[in-house]
Amino acid sequence: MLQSKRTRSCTFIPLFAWGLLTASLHAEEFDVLSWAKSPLKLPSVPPVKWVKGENKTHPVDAFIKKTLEDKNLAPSPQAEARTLIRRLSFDLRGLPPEPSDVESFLKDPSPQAYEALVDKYLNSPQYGERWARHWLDLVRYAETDGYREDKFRPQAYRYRDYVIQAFNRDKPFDQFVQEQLAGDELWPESLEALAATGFYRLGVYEFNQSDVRGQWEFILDDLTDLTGDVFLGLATGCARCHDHKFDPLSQKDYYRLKAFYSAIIPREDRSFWSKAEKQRQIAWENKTKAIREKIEIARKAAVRNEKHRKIARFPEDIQAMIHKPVKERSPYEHQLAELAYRQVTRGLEEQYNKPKGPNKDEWARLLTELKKFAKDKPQPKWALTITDVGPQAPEVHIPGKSDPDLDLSPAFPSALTGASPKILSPRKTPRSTGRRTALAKWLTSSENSLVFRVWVNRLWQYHFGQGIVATSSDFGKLGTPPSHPELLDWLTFKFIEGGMRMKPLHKLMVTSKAYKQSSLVEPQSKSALQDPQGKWLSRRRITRLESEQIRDAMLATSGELQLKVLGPSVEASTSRRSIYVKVKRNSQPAILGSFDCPDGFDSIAKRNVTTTAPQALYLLNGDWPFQRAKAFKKRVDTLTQKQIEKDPQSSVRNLWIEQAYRLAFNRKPTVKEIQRAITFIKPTEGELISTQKDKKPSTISSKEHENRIDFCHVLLNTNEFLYID
Amino acid sequence: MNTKHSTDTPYNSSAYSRRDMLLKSGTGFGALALASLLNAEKSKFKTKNPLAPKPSPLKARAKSVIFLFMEGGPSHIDLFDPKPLLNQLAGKQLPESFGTVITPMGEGRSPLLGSKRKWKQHGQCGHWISDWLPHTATCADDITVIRSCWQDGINHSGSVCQMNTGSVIGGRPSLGSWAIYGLGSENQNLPSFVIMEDNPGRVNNGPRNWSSGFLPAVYQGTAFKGGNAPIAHLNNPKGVNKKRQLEKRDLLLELNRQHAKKREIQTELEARIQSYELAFNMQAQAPEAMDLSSESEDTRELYGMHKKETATFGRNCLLARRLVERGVRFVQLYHGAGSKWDAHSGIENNHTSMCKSSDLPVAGLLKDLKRRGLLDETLVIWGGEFGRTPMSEKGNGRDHNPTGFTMWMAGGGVRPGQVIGKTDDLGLRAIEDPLHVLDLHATILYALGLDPQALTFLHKGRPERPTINTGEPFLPLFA
Repeated sequence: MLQSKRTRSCTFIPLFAWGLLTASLHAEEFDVLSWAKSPLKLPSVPPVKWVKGENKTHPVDAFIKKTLEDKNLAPSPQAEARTLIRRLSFDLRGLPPEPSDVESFLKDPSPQAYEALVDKYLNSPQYGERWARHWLDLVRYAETDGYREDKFRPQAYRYRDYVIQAFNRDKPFDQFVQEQLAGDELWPESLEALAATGFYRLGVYEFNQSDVRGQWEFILDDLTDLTGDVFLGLATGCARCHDHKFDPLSQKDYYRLKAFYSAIIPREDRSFWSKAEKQRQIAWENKTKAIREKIEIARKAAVRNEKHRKIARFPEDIQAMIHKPVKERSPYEHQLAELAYRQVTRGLEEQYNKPKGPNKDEWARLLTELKKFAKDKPQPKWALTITDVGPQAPEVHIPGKSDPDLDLSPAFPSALTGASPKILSPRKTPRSTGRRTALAKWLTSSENSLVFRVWVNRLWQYHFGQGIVATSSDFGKLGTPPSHPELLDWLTFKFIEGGMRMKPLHKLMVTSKAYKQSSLVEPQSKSALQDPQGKWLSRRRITRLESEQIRDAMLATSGELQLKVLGPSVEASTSRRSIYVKVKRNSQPAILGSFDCPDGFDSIAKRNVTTTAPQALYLLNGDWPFQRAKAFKKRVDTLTQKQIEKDPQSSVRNLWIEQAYRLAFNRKPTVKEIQRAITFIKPTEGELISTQKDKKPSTISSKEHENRIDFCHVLLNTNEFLYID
Repeated sequence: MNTKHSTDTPYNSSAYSRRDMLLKSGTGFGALALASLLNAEKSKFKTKNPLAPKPSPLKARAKSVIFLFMEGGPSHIDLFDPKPLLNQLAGKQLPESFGTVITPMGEGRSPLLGSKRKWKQHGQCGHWISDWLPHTATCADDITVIRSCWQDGINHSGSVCQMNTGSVIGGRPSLGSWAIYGLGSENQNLPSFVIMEDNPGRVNNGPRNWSSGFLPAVYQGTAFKGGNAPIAHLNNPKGVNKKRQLEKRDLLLELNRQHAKKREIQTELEARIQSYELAFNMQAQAPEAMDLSSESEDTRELYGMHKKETATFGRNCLLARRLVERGVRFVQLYHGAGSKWDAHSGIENNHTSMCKSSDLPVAGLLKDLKRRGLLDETLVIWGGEFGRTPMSEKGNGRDHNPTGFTMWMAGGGVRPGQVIGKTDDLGLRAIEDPLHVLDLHATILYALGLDPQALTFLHKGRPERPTINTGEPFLPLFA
């Protein structure tokens, strides 16, 4: 009775909201989805007359210029060199440019030098670290369970490393998607492809949920939603409970999409050890075999009790599945039994090192003995992966509907294609259904223009701050029409033609005039008045650094940043890049959480950019930024010292201020700025008398040291530091 | 609320107008910025401060909410919902007619546990309240008891999550976030959604409970710590004195103003300048709000601050009153943070102590609000994430029961003295006027003058609503 009430009210859409929605629909009659799924054709590059002196037309600009001309607008001039290099470096690497790179680029800011810089950045390992984060936002990457305990998943990082490496190696997009969705079926021998299936293991997990059926349906539903969000750019989640209100997506479509996943089963049993590590493990097992067997005997009673206690918590039907021999279980029963049994094993693992029961002392003694061999045992290395439960997939059902004639076998959303999936038993893994391979192949088939338009639009959004379709995960009825549909088509065509590699597309985008143009325009300019959002690309949009960029930029500026790549996640207090910081769903470090870092519950297509007082409090009063200011100050001291040795005639303070500006803003201070800085860092006479204990006139007073720290701290708080032109 | 799709960043809170900046340019940072904020309402140029107070679309019965969250799940059948049949059947299994029950510890077939409580009717209205809550009982005529609450989760994590966000799965905005998204804040110098725990840092799910989810971070809750620096990073860095802090502030302002000169159309730069000003105002005002020195001895005693067992929660309750007095919209107090009400075994000892440490402060809060005329405009809510089973666990405890439990509400336009809904004869399931958590949320938003169906935020192509498109305000609750 209660349930029916919920279902009924779920279909209720207030008239008020309908009015607004339909009003906006009528205003824009462009059907985004019809366009986005239509076959790709290569649009011809519009002929544009360029101003004298420009010998080459960048095709991207040709499309943009045509639209600008239609709107009676003009592009902005190119940004100054130091702005360009800063923009490019943060965009491609997520870091401020190296001072030496800035220097050489300022000397030679030619298009060739710029292109060389693009290549350099795209080929640096920091590129993958930056761009992996965009993908991780989409797939709601996190490294904890997200419920009460928010348990850390120490092996989750293998998926993150997989993504970083995929970008750095410029893996073709089709392969990238196929590995994540069906790596276990297509490349079963490859550990890399297996780590990619970590895609299925990123969601939340509740370790003590006794409603096992509900938990399993949630896991599969969550993956179905994710598929829509990430690949199709459609909010499929709506159709879980009812036919989609706005898009041609029925509830049946939803469950047939879900059916591609119905056979999966979570796995952690494939070892990621090297040959040497495997041998060490075998040696350890041999050496400790006798002890471990004795421990098993000693804890037998405790194990039995623990198992009994844990299993008894489940509903009776689940208990029966657990007790059934594996061979007699249906695939669905096996999935549920295994899911439930995780809770049992978890308890056992926890209690292995906690002796109790009648053989407590013996057990404890054996543990001590076993510990002596601990140094011989290699660290466990595995990954969160999946395979299919077997060649037969369990059926899916629509909750509350029991129509036996309803076909819920795997199918692509009917509005997107007339094609039916060809599901074949995978050649290399006959124990798998092949369902996910069929889905992955369809998603990445070059005929599936929706998926590619969605992806190329995302790349554009990450480079330009706004997608050609502004609602980059919603290409449906509520999505915004594309600002430059032909440009997106052209880019998408080029992307597919070029082997679906990301790096050439990056290069195509960032070498355009549109990318390189200035963001600075007069308030009375046409650009400001007629293109207030910068939608038509009459100028560059300024952007606030993202949370990871802020943290990384502070570490880079202070000289503390460690550029070690890949590996297990670390605490935020270290100096590694933010991509390696543990991603905890329930609690984020202040520096990341307060600057809109996603929390890992939901696919994020575009981050919020908020400006709040707690951010200001944190940057101004928080210990972490203050410590960075101290290190930054030290670095400037050292650099100044080196310079003064070369040029003893110059003013120490002036040199010091120049260095600080160079590191924080990649530019020289103006004369006025130097004067202002001097009044801030130079102690007053009174202060010197009260604090100066040093006798030598050449040394810096302790008061000035403090002032210098404060000055560096202020620089790290400025808008010039936090925003990119 | 606006359902039109955004063409900019999903949410960009930094939309203060450029005119504001012109208004204050050329003068000292502190004074003029503050003046402009104070004059914001009078000014003909409207700011787009996302926390600016907004008129409520419906009649607002309450201005503020104080949510007293008894974390871990108090036993409704031992506090507000007496079940004579339970004592008659004590020791026997749940009758077949009740069907099967999934509980986290699998106690569906465990013997029923009788209640040892002494029950009495209280006040003019005759509310049944057990001897565990003698002080709350003295406020019987101010409260309305809802005996038919239910929700979806069976574990603490999901259920605490749902009581906060409407969903057992994390990621949605907290109710308080929706409230300030819809109504803004009456006090720009204090956070408008404040959380206090009796055991700081222990609450189930942690800060995620007051997360703004997909709503912008300006709407997230702020956890207050004890002491005179309740907000994180409120004090200057070690070694930086007040004078120095002001000098840094001035330098920062100058650099930012200089930077903004060439970027006049980028209003978000101005918003960041203002955010520093707000931060400084918070530094000044938050400690004042937390300073109890002006409270009389009498008031402190009313909240039980003079007794060891009630001092902590009493202080939080008193602070809650001070915060709503200062225009804070949504205050959530956790009692028993870290599932302390979770009496799987030894419910006698557990609930005796939990009731003892909360009962007097809760009653004190109601009385204090009432005598100051604040109860009319403050909705006070009491309850946990679920109730407890009539079945026993480990012989002397009770398992989780999400299918029927009690909460109560007072003030904020609620017609007091009512009993709403009913559970079955053993208190297992809500059977009359069942109110799902989403219905409760809808009701709370309605009390604040918000229409939960009209309050929307476009997220990933869906107009999201606080009560996930379901949930209806329960109107008979109100006068």
